[in-house]
Amino acid sequence: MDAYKSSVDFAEATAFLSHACYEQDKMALRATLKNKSILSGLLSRLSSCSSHGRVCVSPVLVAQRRNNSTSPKLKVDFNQSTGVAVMHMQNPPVNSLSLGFLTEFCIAVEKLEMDKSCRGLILTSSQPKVFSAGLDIMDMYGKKLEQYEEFWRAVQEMWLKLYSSNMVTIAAINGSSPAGGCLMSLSCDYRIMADNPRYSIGFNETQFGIVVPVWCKEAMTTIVGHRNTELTLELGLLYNPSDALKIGLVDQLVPEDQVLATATKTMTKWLAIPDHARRITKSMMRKPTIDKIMSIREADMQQYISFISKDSTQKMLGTYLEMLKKKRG
Amino acid sequence: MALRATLKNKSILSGLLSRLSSCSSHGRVCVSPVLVAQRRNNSTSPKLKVDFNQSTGVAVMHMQNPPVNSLSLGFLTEFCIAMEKLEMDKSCRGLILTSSQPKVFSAGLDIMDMYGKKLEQYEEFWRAVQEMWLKLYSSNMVTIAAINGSSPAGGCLMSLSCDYRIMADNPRYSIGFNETQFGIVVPVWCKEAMTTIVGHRNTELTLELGLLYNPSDALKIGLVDQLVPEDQVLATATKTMTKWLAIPDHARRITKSMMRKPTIDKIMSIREADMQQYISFISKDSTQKMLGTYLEMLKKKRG
Repeated sequence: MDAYKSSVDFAEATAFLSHACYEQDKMALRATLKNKSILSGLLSRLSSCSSHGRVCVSPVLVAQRRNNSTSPKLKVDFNQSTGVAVMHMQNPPVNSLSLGFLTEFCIAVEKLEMDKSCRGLILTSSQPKVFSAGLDIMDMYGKKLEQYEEFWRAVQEMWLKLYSSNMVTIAAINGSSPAGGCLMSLSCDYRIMADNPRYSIGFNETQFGIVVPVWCKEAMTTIVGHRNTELTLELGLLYNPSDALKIGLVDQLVPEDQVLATATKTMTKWLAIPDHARRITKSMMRKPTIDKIMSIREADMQQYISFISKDSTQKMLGTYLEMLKKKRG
Repeated sequence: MALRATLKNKSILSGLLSRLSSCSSHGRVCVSPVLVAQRRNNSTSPKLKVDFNQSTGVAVMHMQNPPVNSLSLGFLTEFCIAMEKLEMDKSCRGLILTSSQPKVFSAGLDIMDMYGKKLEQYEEFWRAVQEMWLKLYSSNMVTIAAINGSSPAGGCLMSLSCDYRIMADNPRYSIGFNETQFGIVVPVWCKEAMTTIVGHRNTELTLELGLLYNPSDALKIGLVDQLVPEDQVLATATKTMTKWLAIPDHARRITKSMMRKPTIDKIMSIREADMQQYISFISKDSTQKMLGTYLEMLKKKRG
């Protein structure tokens, strides 16, 4: 419990990571990073964050103690008779999306995708209070260029595999889900969240001086519309479950202990639809977005690499990590 | 390609059969959910009745193709001719579309035009379906759907093409696209049009799950614009029409065209591909077999 709490406190720290989507943003972003006041902004948010009633999981990036164990970061339970797989994310403490985790994830999804008997996937968390807290900062700091590329490719792959999956995908969101966690859940066909006001879900990148990749905005727009996407992303909003439901970021709220059961029940309903018809329809709905994103995929990669490898970005990340170390004491 | 694969799946047939039997046990009026195989209306009586009020400039088109206003080749041809005539009449500024058949607005495409025909006939039919939608969607007139009955599939498509939808507030009626429940999918232009009205998310859910909504839920997602008691549907449509016609025509038309042109262009660009896909799909042995079995079953039900 103590270890968890310190992870959460630790995770309450903020980091700056800018990922410019467009040239003009890139320039503005560089200018932003030169502005030392960001650091103080960051520090002040750190202190205010912990005073909220809510579980304030690493709002954007997680720098969890490196989980170097070889134990799997995912547990997949596949029910052959129903054709439904349940994927439990178990990357303590907060299911950060590290290279290791994302690699395991992509392999697992591909395996299920190729298994003709697997028709549905429920994605959930084994970690208390958290669905996933987002990208792992350790994969963004002090690495070689090839490593940054490898990481971002894994991030892109995770989203693409989920979004274009032929399986029925349901996110059973049993904890907070900022940033990368929100992205994962948005890629699914359906989102069920625990009706716990201490949890939150959204994209708070801009609060920390960074932006989401453009493909994130494309996907979100198809779900909550342009206006809500603009508001959420510009203001870096995290919603409590009730507000998330209102804007359609999640589809259903249930008591926390019923999230997985509801997901299972919903899955049965979806699987009652003839597979081929459902898959063609899903593909028809999602193809335009996928095509759009595939066409900018390499440009997105280049932008990420330039941004993350910049001295100023690395310096900022370094300062953040130092601060976290001090908090751990 | 995937569509052909769908038809190879025999379980669709049992899915279809089980849905047919469960269908009649609902409280709701369960009109042939996707396809209609009505006794061929061979009479030469018109399938549409158009009342045109010269002084108001409003035409009311009553669909009267018993029993359930199925969208047959004959009906669609009459419809397109009637539309064109009204469109070319400069004194006609608005069109209200409604049904003379009890409990049904339109039950969708007529299966008889999809079964046991020659390739040219399938092409003729699908062209008529595409034309119906295009003529309605791109009409210069104000178009209001006075939905006084259930409106699945093709019926829903017709109403979606209009500027405004008023539905009878009767929970026994339903509206939506339930094609996937029967192992088939809507054409992509249907998805394009629907997305502009209810948004991407609702379109994805509706089409994947093959949902039919009661009027109240249809209103919630914006599939229809207004609910009124059944006996007030036409009167409300007339009143609404007056409001729309108060807007200077030219401004309204240019605005409508500006709104709809991207979708129309997108669909025109894929129109021939859509036609080819339909013809290949419908003429497949497995599709024809499935339709044949369905018709046999209907015959038995009629006894």
